[in-house]
Amino acid sequence: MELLPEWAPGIHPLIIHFPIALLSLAVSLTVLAIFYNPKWITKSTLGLYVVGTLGALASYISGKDAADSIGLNFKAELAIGTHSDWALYTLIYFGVFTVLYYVVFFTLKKESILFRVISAALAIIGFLILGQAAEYGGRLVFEYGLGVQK
Amino acid sequence: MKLTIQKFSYALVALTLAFAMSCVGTSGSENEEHEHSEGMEHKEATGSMKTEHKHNEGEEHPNEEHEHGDGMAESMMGEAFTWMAMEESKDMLAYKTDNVMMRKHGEDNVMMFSPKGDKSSCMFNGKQGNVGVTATIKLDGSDGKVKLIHHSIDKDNYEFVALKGNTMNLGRVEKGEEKILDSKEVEVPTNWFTLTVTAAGSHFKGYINDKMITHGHADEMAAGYVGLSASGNSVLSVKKVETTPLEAEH
Repeated sequence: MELLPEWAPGIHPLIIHFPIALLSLAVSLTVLAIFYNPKWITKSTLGLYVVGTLGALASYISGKDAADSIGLNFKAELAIGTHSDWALYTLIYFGVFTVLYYVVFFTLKKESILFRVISAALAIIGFLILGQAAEYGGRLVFEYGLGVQK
Repeated sequence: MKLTIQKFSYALVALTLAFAMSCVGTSGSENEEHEHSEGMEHKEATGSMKTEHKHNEGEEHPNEEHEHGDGMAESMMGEAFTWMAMEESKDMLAYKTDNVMMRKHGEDNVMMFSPKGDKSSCMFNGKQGNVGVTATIKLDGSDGKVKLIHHSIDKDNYEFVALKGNTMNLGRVEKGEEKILDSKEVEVPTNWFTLTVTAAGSHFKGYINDKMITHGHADEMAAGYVGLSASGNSVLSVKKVETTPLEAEH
């Protein structure tokens, strides 16, 4: 039995939206935590960052396979490279951020407003990096037509 | 609670605005860059005469016996070109070694590299930055090495995709030192096939018949020349070489 639907060009487009959604929600909750900070928000946020970053790792690996299997496409070559670079920055950024977030909030028990504001600011930077990777990914599909059956 | 929801809404709106502004900023800067690079083309083409001249006098290609064509080098700066093996297209060559000759191969005109245990090479006019290069080639004999060269500044600084036996190597030579970025086993076709290399920013890829074989990463190199070289005892026939500058996406 084939796990992948016949119409799907690969696994990458099927999983890529999960880390985007999970990390975006995590960032939103980190910003919310500046104003409203019950324990469940901090715990949920950490869970979202962990699952989102793992999703970003799976997306990066599947994306690398997808990019290598496309075949020769001079027109999209630079956009593929740029998308891949931003995806790697996103993965590294949220990987480091998630570890720091865990250490600061759960190990050091620092929950002051200053730490919440700093973590929100850092989360927004990560969100913008994620946005760049997502934008180039979108352009590969909608501008260059990659992964779209002719 | 009502106040908290209101604040959360504000935060979400602020996030959305930040995201939208980052997207608009990127698209805007790309358009600017595109327009700029179109405008730059003229300046570069004019300025390139000096660069090419300087290159003629001071710098060297992998082989030192080259001469540039008169006006061709300037007009081909960073532009796409298709070179077909025929006498009329000789002007597009910056230089070639004596053991590289035009020959008839069946009905086709080909440029034949016969290194006979030594080296043979040719370089094309016109510096290229981010570029895709495709050579339509045929290898007779397995005891040889063929290199598709790009970003060549001189004989000690260039990048390449190479075939030797059943191995494709993707690499660069910096200050005379060879560094392999990726290496894969591959079945080299015995008939005509296309050997392609792409250099897009820090991403380098090698293809055979449009199928990617090697993918490596390294710092972006300065613009340089495109060429071919063969060594060992195989005979390399080249029918066509095409270069395609890759679209700016930064």
